[in-house]
Amino acid sequence: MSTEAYLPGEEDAEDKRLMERVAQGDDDALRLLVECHHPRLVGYLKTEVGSLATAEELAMEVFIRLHRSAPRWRPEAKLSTYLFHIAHNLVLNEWRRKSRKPTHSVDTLSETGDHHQESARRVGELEESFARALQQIPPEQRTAITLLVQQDMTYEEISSVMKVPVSTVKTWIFRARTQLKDLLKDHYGTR
Amino acid sequence: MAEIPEPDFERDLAAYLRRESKIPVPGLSLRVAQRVRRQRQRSRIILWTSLSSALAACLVLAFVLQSQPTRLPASVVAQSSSHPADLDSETDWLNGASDLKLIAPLMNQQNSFVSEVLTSTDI
Repeated sequence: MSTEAYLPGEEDAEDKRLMERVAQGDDDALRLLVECHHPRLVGYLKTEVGSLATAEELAMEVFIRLHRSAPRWRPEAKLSTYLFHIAHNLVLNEWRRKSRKPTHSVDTLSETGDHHQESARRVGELEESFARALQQIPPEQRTAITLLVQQDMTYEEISSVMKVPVSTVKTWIFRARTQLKDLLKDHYGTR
Repeated sequence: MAEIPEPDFERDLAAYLRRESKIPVPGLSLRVAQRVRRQRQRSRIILWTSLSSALAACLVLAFVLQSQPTRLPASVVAQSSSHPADLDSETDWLNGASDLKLIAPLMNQQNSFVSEVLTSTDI
């Protein structure tokens, strides 16, 4: 995973142009931004809150907040980083609202004992084990490793999203990996 | 039968998390645009309501200020124009009159002590 500083590209220039149009009240530009960015955002939110319906609602709220803040937005970082920052804050609010840690669909995971093929059975078992293990690590560590592995973000981008120093992000990711390996030692041994 | 791959933590973690790295939701952009439009309409209504309320308040104030002097009764105007000092002197005179009223019968009575005192030249 690259930890180099972000270099603006063509996609970001397009985002900037669209944001300028959104700031002027152009709804078509907003729709284009939603079309472009929502799949990653919903994927991340679904991993964090567990429910697709809630993830969709939160994603809508992210874009409404983006629309509201468009006149004040300055392209200091990637638009996607800004979107994930809003999404992360909404996830924190959601956890506070529910007064409990994020829930995944661990209980609803299907039993995999009836699978005919050994590899399919093993994949099912692994998925269940990963879901349970991710439940057991602290939420900030889970968010950091999700953004790194699932969304291919750099440490700097994760630092911008979570508003913590890069060193903290690195520590969280290191601890997340260590704890996950420990929780999954039945599958991977004690390495 | 395909060979079962060896367990690899990094590969399996990535595979697990990337299963849902992108979830396209059909119609989400339309829903966002609709909600934004509704919010814009709501804020426009709030703006117009507050503007018209402020205008109405200004008109009422102007009307009240314009009609206030002609509506006040003359007695209130007269009372408000009298000086507090005048009120004090009037009260003193009234008190004095009530005192005189008390001693008036004694003054009119012949050979009374009061009339003697009042007519006495020694005072």
